Amino acid sequence: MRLIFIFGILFSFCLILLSAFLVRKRTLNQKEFIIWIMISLFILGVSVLPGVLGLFSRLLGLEYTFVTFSVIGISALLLLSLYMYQKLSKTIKILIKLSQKLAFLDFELKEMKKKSKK
Amino acid sequence: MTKILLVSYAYNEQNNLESVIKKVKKTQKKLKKFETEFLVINDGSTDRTQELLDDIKIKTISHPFNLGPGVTLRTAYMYAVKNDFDYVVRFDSDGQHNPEYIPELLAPLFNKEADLVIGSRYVNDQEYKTSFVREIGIVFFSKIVSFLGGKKIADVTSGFRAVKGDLLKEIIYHIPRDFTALQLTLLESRMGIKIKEVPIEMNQRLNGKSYLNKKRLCKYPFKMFLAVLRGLK
Repeated sequence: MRLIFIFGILFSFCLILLSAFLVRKRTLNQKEFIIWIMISLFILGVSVLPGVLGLFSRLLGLEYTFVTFSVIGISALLLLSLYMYQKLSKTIKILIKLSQKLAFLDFELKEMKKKSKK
Repeated sequence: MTKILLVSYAYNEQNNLESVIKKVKKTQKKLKKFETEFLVINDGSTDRTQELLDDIKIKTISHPFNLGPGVTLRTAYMYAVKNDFDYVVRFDSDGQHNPEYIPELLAPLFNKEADLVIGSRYVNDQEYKTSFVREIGIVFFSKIVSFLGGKKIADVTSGFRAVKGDLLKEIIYHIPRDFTALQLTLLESRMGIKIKEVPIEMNQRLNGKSYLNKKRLCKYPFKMFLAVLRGLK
């Protein structure tokens, strides 16, 4: 077995362990954990069965399996970053709503204080 | 009694606010037969703006940090809806919009000639000096918005506006976060809102730097195109 495949197997195991650790620490939610497990399983799959990548290469008309791996990897990363942007956008929306609510509450509190002084 | 909200936005305007507030107070006296309220939305200023507003005892809603002109407008309209205002007039607090024009902006609303009145720099060939590129941009996008909205509007980017209170609920959720006037104008004209422009003279900013710095100015045409696309919804 080539060293790169052993590295792939070890790396995917590390990724699974790290994801599990982050879930336990609650810095990664369930949805994100599933995404990272899927990525880890993909790396594990192509490391244990490198022939699958060769099959993909032939299907895509690519000569080198490394190029196939890169194409799949970059596509997955692009999709992931799009997902993250969407998540970020949603979070910003929530943050804005909360900030507005805070501003209104602060305003109402000030007005109440003014009235009670009178 | 008819309730009118005069609302201004401030972001680091410590040097301009006082003179604007003086003019607003003068205008409020002219509008004494109505119940007017002056409110400032402080959009996370980092200078002495908040302190100044507290000292002069002006009603202020303060965002905890800078949320941008679109959200600021939303906050202003939310306040107006919550407190049942009949009319809302909004203007900048950098001194470019002269509050003395407020009665002229309100007149077409009172006469039921319009539901939304825009204070326009270009409706009667007023002299307003801005950069050549910016002026071309305003004219170009005004033509696009007029074409797509089906109504001729000469100054789509003017933020000096008066609007009927009962329209706010419809408009409020269409206000984009990072851009306001152009997209909103297009949406409003496509919604069939009666829009009228009244001529106003706009001053140069009194002090400080404009929100549109060089970086933002470069992004401006792209944002405008995006605004047009979004406004077509």
